[in-house]
Amino acid sequence: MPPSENKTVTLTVDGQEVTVPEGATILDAARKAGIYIPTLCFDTFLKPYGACRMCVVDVERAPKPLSSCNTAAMDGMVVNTKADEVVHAQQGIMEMTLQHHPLDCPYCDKSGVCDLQHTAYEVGVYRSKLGSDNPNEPDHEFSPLIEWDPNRCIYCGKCVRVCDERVGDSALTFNLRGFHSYIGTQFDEPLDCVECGECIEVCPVGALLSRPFMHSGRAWQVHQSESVCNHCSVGCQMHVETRMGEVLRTKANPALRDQTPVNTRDRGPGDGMLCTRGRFGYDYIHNDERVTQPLARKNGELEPVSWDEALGLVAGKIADAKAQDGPDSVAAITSGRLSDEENYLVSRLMREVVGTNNIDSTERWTFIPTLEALGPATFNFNIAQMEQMDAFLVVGGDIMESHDVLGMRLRQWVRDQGKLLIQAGSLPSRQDDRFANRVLRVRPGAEEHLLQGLAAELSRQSGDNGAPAELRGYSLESAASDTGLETEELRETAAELAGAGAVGIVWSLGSWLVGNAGSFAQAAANLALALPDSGLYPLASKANSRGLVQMGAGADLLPNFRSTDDAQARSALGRHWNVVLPDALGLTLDALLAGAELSVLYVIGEDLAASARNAHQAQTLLEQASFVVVQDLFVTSTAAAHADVVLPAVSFAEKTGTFTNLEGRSQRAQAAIPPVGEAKPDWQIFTELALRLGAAWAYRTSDSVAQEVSAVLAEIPITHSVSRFAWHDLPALPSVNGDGKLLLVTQDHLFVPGVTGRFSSNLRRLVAEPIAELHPAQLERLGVDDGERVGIQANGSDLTVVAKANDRLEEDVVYLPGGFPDAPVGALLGTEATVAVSVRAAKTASAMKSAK
Amino acid sequence: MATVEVERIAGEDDSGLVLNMGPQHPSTHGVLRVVLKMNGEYIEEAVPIIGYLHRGTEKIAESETYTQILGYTDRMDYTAAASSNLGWLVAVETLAGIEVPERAQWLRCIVGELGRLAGHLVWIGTHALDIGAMSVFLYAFRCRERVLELFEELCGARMTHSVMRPGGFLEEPREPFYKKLEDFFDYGLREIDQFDKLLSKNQLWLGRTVDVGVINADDAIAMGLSGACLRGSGVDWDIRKAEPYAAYDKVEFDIPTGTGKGDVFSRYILRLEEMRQSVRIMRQVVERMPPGPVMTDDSRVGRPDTPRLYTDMEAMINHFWLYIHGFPVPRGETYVAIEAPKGELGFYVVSDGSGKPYRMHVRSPSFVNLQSLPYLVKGRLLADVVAVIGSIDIVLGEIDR
Repeated sequence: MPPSENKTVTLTVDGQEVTVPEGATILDAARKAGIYIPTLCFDTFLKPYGACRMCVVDVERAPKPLSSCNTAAMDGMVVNTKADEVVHAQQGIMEMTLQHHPLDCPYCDKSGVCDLQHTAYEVGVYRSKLGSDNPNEPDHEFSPLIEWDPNRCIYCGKCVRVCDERVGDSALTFNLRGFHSYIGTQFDEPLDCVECGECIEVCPVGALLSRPFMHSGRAWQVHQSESVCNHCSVGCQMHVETRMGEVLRTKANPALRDQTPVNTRDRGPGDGMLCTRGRFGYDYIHNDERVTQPLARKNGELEPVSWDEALGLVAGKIADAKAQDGPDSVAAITSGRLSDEENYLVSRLMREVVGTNNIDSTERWTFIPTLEALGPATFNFNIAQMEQMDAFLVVGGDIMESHDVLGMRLRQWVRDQGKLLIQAGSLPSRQDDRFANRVLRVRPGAEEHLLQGLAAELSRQSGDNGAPAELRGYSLESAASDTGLETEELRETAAELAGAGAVGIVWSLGSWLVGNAGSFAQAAANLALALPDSGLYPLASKANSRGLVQMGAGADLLPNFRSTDDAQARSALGRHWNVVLPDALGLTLDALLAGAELSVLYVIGEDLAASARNAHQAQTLLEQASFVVVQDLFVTSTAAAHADVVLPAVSFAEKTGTFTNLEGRSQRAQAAIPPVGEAKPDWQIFTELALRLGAAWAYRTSDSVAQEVSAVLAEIPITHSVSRFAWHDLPALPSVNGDGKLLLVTQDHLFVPGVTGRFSSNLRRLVAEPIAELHPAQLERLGVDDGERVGIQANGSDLTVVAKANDRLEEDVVYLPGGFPDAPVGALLGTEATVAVSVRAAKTASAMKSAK
Repeated sequence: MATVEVERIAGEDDSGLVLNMGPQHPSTHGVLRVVLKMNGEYIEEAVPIIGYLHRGTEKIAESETYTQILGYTDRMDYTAAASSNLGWLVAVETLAGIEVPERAQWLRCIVGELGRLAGHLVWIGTHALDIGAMSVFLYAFRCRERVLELFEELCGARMTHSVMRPGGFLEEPREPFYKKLEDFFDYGLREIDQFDKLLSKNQLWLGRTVDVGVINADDAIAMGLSGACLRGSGVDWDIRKAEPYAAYDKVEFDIPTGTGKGDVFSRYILRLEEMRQSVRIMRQVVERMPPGPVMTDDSRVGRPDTPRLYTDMEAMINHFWLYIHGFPVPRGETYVAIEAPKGELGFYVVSDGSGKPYRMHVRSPSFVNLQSLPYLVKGRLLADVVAVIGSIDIVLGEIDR
């Protein structure tokens, strides 16, 4: 029952008068009054359950003690939480729970932060009356990341409920009944879920365990730092647990999960949750392959050198290039994994110190075209407002894969508040079975056609709404034939959307969108204009994609999304930097790839050789640049093959900085540990380079940069623009009619968040090698078993990956996730959304060995 | 601050000599530094400069449980660690409302008085040595060895032992302790008499102590002096009588006030008598101590017996929670003081309701008593500085904390 805002009830708890909103429970009232009631199965996030009976209280005129977590407070109630009968009941329950609890405190991970320890202490159970049977059953390994200790479990059901109510996967359940009951998957099937580990987080005892973290640190030894997850743009707030300069694990910020029912604190964009990437994808920080020392290429090999030598080399080359070939012979490629401050500084470094606008990033392919089509205002939304939408149209890549926590929240809105969810895309999504009211499986690449078709149909229905004739002329029949859907299906969808009220159009700016982000955004805008009260929710891809663009780290961009053509913004920024900004047009990433001969190419936090859509062009660019500097955590494929100098940078846990999430919320991540080895934060490297190049920068901390950034942003405010209808010719889609080829489709994969994810051995436990999913019929046709290798060929590239059968895919589709640096899908796709590829069986490594 | 003071007393002209004493000086009883402005052999001004032994105990205490802090109090007045322990425990138990069993209260008198003896024996040894009476030092430390052996018998540790716990004692002392203690009484009194004979009528001693470093009762009170420094001026103030703790209200003892003249000799002679009174107190305790447990049976405070941890889940869980988080102390604040060998040792504790103090402040007697040094030595000879420092009886571990 949602508490009503207006009506209140007043009751007496332990002699104290408390007023709470109607619908609040006795437990809410007691905690509001600061009265402690022990609980084990209660969680503010979950629906009241009343399994543990720990929270019983005495209520006057009630025949027996009532559980306070699920009894509504009523006017005039007189509650006694300390009655003898109550305390006796609580102690009895605790004694029975402890009778079957193993004596594991000395080595249990939960010891010290254990609800059972705390509650036993508080209710006063210090001596055993029933003895202890100290059970010793083996652990159940649910997955490579999660295991369950049956002995420690107190069967409160929190894990089962959180998986059901919060995550929406319902992967866990109680099996059997009574004394034989155990937590597991339905019918003991293998665990099939997003592996987010929320069950571990809510477990009040040490029964559900993080396998990577197990036995690595005691609760009283670890230090916690507030931070923000760096694996996607939702910006979930989290804590980094460290001990002696080592990151032990990351976990949801406990302050957001405060068990006070009347907690009104903003729980942040993640609502106190984390996903697989956030909870397990931290261990790349201490990967053995981290570059911990600058490297320079000597006689063809990358060899360790001192910072002084490396920076001297880089500064020298930039100065030479500037003097001989002009500043425009230098270019930098930055990344959305860097903080706001760092992206600001790299832009300043290039524009002020080097004197060129040649700074860009892979946001050129997704975020920037979307920004150009929709204007900056679209990117200032609020997840809390998003929740107010009545219906959601999720198009393209599955957001449970790319923005998992937001996906979980979307599932909650859909299920708890009965909102309409239409899921459209060329691949199956995790919402299809239980959450989506309608699933539209379109032909690969036809997401844009779907939106234009719906916009056209709605425009025709609503009379003159300003839509151009070309758009109105795009008939439902042609949309149906383009998307591969039935005309009737489209008509029904349009009717559903028109009648749904406020519709949120949600799409991720992920790998599936590369190449046609701008036209897709326009199609979304058209649909939004045809639907009154609708909202556009483009979800930025990297942790700081939005921050990067807002800081102006793009060839044609200045801070706050201003264009380099904007003379007023240019002069304001120039005043701040005490320099006249270059007005020559900068080279965008596309222009660079189209064939630019550079003297120095500075690649920061981006594995260009693997992530670029056109691998051959990237190869050529990197080869033709006379001097390539790579600044990264690892020797990426770009660094290994092309770098002349590698500068070791640090992860989010080793530096302080702000990250701007997809809502435009700037959140601060606190350095949790000192940099690993000799690595340095990126802002520090930029500052040292600038100083060597003769600039007079005086930044001593990231926060001093942040101060300057806020001054600059205040001076150059965002200008707002309005979306308008526009029509563009829709791209022709490749077809594969019986020529033996398949259509290659990509999207982000939850377990494969790019380079850092591939260096996280925790996430590699889930996906060890690059995979591609095919329909079982195709595997049979190829003569390949599930788990064997296939070769995929297109665009002159050939990748070998492990084939996985997925019978929910269309038969003519092969799905290769983006984010494998070791199997870059971009090499096959070029700048297209989908291409026809030929797939063949590849001999396995062992088979090849035996053949030799 | 130190530099400012030194510059101030050095003055702008070169008149007079500024003499630095310490912090590495055997007669400053640790790392006390005194800057003296001399006029020939006479002292015009003395400025004690402290802080060389600062360890941030009060700040550290904010992140430790009440039980863990006990170990830090040992390191304040390390010559009489038992007294510092006791002061802390009385403060914590008052704030937390912990009932201490009767036998433990009596036993605490023994530990407190042994601590006083240990402290006073260091004092008389070093005080006499500073003034030039070499042999007293040897006898005093021989006697102190017996006291330390008693601690060793009590708990295994000699100097920093933390044998008491919130709620009572770690465990009942084993039988040989009481026997050794009774053996000590006569021995100790004989030794005290010997110091008396060696010094009290010695002309050299009298010349160095009588009418040296005089402070009258009003000034002593105004300066906040306590312990022997206050009683030496004739004020019979003793917290053991004024606000009894442990079982001091159940034993008989006198408050010696020396000659009442407030000079070095008065403070000397009354401390000798205090040591005799300590033995008197302990004799009564050994005779009259009731049987019973020495640790509270409240499991929210006291830890479970070790053997139970191996079989009893309730004990295990109790033990872990108690040792990780400490026992919660109700929100509030208190100031409780005890009569330590050096004077009034007070602990001000603020609790936010958790198992660790929100703030802990120590009113250490040495710190307050040391303030009187400039007053006591003004216009006196340089050699009197060491006599006065010895008679104030400071320990820097407690001053700097």
